[in-house]
Amino acid sequence: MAKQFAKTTQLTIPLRTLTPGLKGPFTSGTLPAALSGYQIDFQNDGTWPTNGNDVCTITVEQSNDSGQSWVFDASVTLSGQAWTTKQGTVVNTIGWSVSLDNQGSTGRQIRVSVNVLQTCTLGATVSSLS
Amino acid sequence: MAISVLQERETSIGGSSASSIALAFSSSLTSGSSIHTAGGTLNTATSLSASGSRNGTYGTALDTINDTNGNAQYRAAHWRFDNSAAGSETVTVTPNTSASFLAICIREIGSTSGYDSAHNASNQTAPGTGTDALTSGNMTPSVQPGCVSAFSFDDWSGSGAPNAGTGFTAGLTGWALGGASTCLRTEFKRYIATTALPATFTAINGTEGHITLAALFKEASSGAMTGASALVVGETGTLTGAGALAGSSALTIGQTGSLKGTGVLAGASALQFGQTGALAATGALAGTSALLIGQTGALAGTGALAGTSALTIGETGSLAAPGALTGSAALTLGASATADLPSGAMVGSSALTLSASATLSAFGALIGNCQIIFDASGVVPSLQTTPTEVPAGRRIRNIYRVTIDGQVFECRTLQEALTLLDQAKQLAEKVAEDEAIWQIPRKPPVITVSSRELRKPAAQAKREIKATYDRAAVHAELRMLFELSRRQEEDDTLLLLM
Repeated sequence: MAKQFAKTTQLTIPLRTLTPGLKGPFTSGTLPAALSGYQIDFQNDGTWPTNGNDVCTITVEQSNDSGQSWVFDASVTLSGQAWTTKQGTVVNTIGWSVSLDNQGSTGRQIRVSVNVLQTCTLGATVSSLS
Repeated sequence: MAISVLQERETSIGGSSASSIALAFSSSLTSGSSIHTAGGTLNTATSLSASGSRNGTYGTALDTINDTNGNAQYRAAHWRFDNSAAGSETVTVTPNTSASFLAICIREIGSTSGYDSAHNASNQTAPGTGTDALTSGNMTPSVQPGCVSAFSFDDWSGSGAPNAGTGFTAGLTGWALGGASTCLRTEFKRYIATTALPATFTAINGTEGHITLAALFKEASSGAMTGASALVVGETGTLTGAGALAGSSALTIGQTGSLKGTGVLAGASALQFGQTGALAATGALAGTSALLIGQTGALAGTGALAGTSALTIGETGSLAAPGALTGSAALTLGASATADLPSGAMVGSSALTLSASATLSAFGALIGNCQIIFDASGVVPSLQTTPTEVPAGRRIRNIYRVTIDGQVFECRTLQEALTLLDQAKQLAEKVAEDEAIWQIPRKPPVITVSSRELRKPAAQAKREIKATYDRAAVHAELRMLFELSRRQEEDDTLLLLM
């Protein structure tokens, strides 16, 4: 059977219009120790740019010492094209999942930064996966 | 250490076009590891590339698969990077143009000497759910041992990650591609033969298309522990490989240890065995290498202990090899030892110290400025001078050996030997003066000599000593007769008085 993740919301970044520049970081609380990864579900309001240029880079950093130090974990750069399903249906939400292989870590937090390259409206929900 | 996957991670995004996706390894990379990376995206992108923050570009993809069947429209590729630098590494996959459903999976393969020049990939539209029905196709290892590292995923609907194939160790599942379930499985298998083999998986949904990507990696053996590496093995340890322990490497084995390989312990390497240890190799302990064995130890190999190498064995020790202990090598054996050295052993300024009973047997051993020291009993089967070059016109100097009644006297010169024979004659004269010992006739001594030049003087000495003893015997007999005669006259005188 396909593996189904249990998602637990850890952080919500309300949908808002973002102007160019660095936003955040938006920091989660301490994540559960038994963790296989995290997922960020993005939302837009249907006004997402479609000019083909990069819109923003979302960067996740991870801390294993309750926020005293942070290291880069993952990033993705979203482009100015409509969000769709694989079949081409336009949607306003997409998911980005990232695995973690150091399960059992206590005192772990993540924080999200957004480097906005062109004005967009974006929100996000950060969840832990177990 | 056997080749293995040290760590792996994955990430993927759903239906938003992305121009790149990056993922860091959770832990720092081990120096020398290989990185096996897979990436994929909708095939609106016509190519993909991969690079690392520390190691740079991962080069041309090993395979790129473009699945245009059914609902797939997906393109996937995999790359390898060998001999990674140590430290943190973030891997980035970049499509040539922004595309959605971008995904990446990264694996660190440790104890490897790198990619084995064999890879394969497949695109199966309806593989079925039979065991091992998903296959990359065969790959042929050039050496063994090694490992297969593979990825396989359902690229149609992502309805389920396949299971690992028979004999493979399952890795992670991932690539949810924005959905709730995963579609990717990784796997690993170590092999010990060079027969061709595929990476196989078992599909969960056999009616959907799958892409499988696989590559072979070699297990590290040759050239292991170069540079300033250090290896500590708690108990039994075996290190096999050409060029092992080169440079200033150090190897410590707590108890039993074995080291086999050409050129082992070269350079300034050090090897320490807590108890039993064996070192067998051509050119072993070359350079300034040092070998210390706490108890039993054996060293066998051509050219062993060359250069300024040092070998110390705490108790029982054995050293057997042509050309062993050349240069200024030193050998110390704490207790009983056998140094069975063939021709040319211990040349140069080598030193051999044997604390207790020891045997040294070899032809031409201890040439040059070598030293041999026995603290207790020692056996040297033969001792003879070694011819050395001397200025023209000078004689080659020999040892003159004189044996008298089994007692050996060695003299540096002929004159010294002749003096010894004269002393023997004088001693015979002195002995002859002692009347008491002549109650029983005395035999002359047995004298043998090693040199032709001494034969005549020795024979003359024997004749003179025999004559001395003969005269002493005649004098003793006459004295006895005179005594008998005197006693007879005394007896006659007493009879006349009575």
